[in-house]
Amino acid sequence: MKGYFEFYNPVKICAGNDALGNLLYESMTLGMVKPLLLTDETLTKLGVVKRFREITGLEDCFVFDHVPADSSVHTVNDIAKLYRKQGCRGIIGLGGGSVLDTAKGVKLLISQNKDDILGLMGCENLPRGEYVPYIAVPTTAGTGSECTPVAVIRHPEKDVKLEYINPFMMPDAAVLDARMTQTLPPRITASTGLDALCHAIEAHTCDQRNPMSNAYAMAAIRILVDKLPEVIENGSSPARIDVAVAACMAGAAFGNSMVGAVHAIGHSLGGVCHIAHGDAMAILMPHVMAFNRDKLGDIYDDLLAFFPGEADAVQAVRNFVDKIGEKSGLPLRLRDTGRFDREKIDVIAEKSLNDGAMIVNPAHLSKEDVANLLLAAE
Amino acid sequence: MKKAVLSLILQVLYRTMRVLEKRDTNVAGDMAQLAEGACVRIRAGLSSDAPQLTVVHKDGRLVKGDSKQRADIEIMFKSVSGAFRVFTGFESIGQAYCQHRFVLSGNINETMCSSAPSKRRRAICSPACGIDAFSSIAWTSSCPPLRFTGWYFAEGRDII
Repeated sequence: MKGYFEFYNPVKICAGNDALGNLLYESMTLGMVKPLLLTDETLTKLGVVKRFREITGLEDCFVFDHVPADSSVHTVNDIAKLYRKQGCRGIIGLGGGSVLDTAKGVKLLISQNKDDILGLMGCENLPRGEYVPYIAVPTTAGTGSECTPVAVIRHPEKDVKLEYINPFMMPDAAVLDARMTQTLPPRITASTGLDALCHAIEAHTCDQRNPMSNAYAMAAIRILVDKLPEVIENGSSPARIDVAVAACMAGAAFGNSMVGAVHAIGHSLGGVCHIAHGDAMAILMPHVMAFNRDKLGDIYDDLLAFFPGEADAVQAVRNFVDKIGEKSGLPLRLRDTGRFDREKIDVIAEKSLNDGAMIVNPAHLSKEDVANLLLAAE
Repeated sequence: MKKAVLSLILQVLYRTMRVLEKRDTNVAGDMAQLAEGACVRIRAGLSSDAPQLTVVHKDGRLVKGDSKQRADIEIMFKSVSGAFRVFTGFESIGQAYCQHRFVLSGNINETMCSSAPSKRRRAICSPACGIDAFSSIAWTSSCPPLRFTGWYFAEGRDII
């Protein structure tokens, strides 16, 4: 080990059979009173919120189900106002990455007693502040947001995704229950699952990697390569919970070592072209890995342990992504997303270089390199 | 002693930026992205007497700002010794980031305006990059050919 590293993961993981049954108990021990239940309209329409409340027995709460797919700084500010107005104490985030990150933003605002999240931007720059209990219940297995100190929140006026990095935003507990992900269609399962794989691979190879995060990352990669295809083929497979746990582990890994260029470019594609985060990760991952390998040689050789019979780790990941794409209908080219605009490559490349994830990518990328990667992935 | 050295280095850093914003097109371009009135601060430690540099983008130029002024971007090292390692070239700013040597207040995207500065070897575009440009070109052996002229440094060429 070289230099110095930090590893922080205070989240209690409640995972497996009937995990949701313990949520009420967890909320009580954390001191929640009339918690704010943050979720989105799709989950309400699908009946997931109703089922969640039936299973958990959660009655006295204030439900806000208008969190958009790409949550914004304005959404966070508005929800914090509602939290105060309703006299809530505690937050339960039920949803995917956008909902869980929005919950983190609200927690940050309330704990710092502020009204505008734009005034709290930064990295590890704020004290703990007022205690705001928070339980995360992911309904996708991918973002790992339940185990990271990072919130990505969109600034609509600037067309960028802002990163907030603060360990005190992290949930007190994460409840992983397969019943919350069983209804996910194969395409979303694939997109989010490959996002998790990307988290683990980038966490394992970026400049901030460390022995602790490596342990989580490698374990997550093993499970995802083994179980993700099965879950895409059979949505009610018992392996659902394995994939959810792997996504959570990948979150703990990259939450402590950060990610890299795939995420830097993906954030910009999301901000400028509104391409779904997981789709961008799946498309970009093999291209960025090939770039890093060409610059740095054998940095991905450790991954070969998970792909028996393969001689090249980058090709192995490419084959795996292709296989998942074929099974699920996931777009494998940027043009197939229907949102990519070639004219905006220059803007995307510029924004990618300014993304916080770029600084830890193991190989240096110039603006031209990013543009070439985008063209290759088109 | 470390504080005194850091104060001197920050002063040199400021002078370097003043020259580079006029003479280096890369730096000038990056400076143009800073909003008018934007205030950036580097603080080499937590104590009230820690060496610090505050610069403001005013009338299209960088000028020294008041240390009590609210900064739009502030890079604060957790310890004087951590700052010393970076400013004296034993660690790059990228390594310092990976090793949690400093905290950042403000927009991360804007602060990364010259991403991966330790690898880019570009001259200065913001104090964050400036630290690295300064430290790498001043003392490390792995940097590309650079020449030192008086107080000022630039990538691969003399600037004054």
